[in-house]
Amino acid sequence: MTSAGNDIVSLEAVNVTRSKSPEFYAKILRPAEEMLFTTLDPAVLPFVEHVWLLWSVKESAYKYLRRLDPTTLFIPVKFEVQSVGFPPGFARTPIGMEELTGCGFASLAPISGSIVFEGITLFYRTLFYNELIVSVVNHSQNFDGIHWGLKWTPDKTYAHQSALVREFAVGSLQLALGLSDLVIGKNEGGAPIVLCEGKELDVPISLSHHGEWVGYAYCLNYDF
Amino acid sequence: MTRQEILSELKKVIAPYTANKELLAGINEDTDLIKDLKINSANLVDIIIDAEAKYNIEIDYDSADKMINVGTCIDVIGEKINTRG
Repeated sequence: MTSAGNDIVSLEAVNVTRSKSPEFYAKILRPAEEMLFTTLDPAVLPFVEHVWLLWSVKESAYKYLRRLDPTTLFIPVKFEVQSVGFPPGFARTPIGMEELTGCGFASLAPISGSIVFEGITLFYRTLFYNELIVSVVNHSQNFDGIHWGLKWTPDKTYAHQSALVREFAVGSLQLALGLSDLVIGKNEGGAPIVLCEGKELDVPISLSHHGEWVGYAYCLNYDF
Repeated sequence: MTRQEILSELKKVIAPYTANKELLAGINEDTDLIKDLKINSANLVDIIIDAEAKYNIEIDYDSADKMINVGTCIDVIGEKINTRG
């Protein structure tokens, strides 16, 4: 079971007032996830950020699972985040750069935990900055084979961001795979795929954009 | 309400969440909210909440499952209007 799933939430693009309303968050959080918040320090992460942290994990998990089963629908309350583990001394900071890439998360002290959907457990890593939340999920707790990237753009139009995130991901893939002539298309289920000279490569990839940010995550070296 | 009346009001609910106003003006029952109107998944939750308030209905999770295109949105909203007390 190998796939890829990522999600970006631009905190500058969310409706804070609506995020605090029970009508909204009750459609995202399960009761156990609301209780989970009570076990955390609200000074570290206020409730609105808690909602969007869990949203980003749930959407990442949805993307991961939808590639495997295109009939999967995104109903947030059907995904349950089981744990939210903050690194020691966690404090939000500005991202401080317009582009950030990595392979794995070992040097970045991410938030980590697990999420369950219909009996399937996935694991997540989340980077939480003042400006945005970015989550990546995997079937294993070892994220060493997960390549990911974030990029800022002032152009919020769908067409621009769709093209930019593909160009950004292809640049990374060319370096990682040592291949040229790569393009990103879509399979019949609507999931992004990597093509080399028109042939699909076995590299599951996930793309995301929100607000002024775009990002990718893809998986290499499955047998870790 | 007729399907046409629901569609007319639904356009107003959707309008704040899509940049593609030209396509919105010409939507039909086959228009897909995500693929065609480029509405993100978080805004789908907004649309469900706004529809609940506009039509004084409650849209449960199983019904929300079905709201993929304009036609299925009209199905769900029409059904909830007809069954509200």
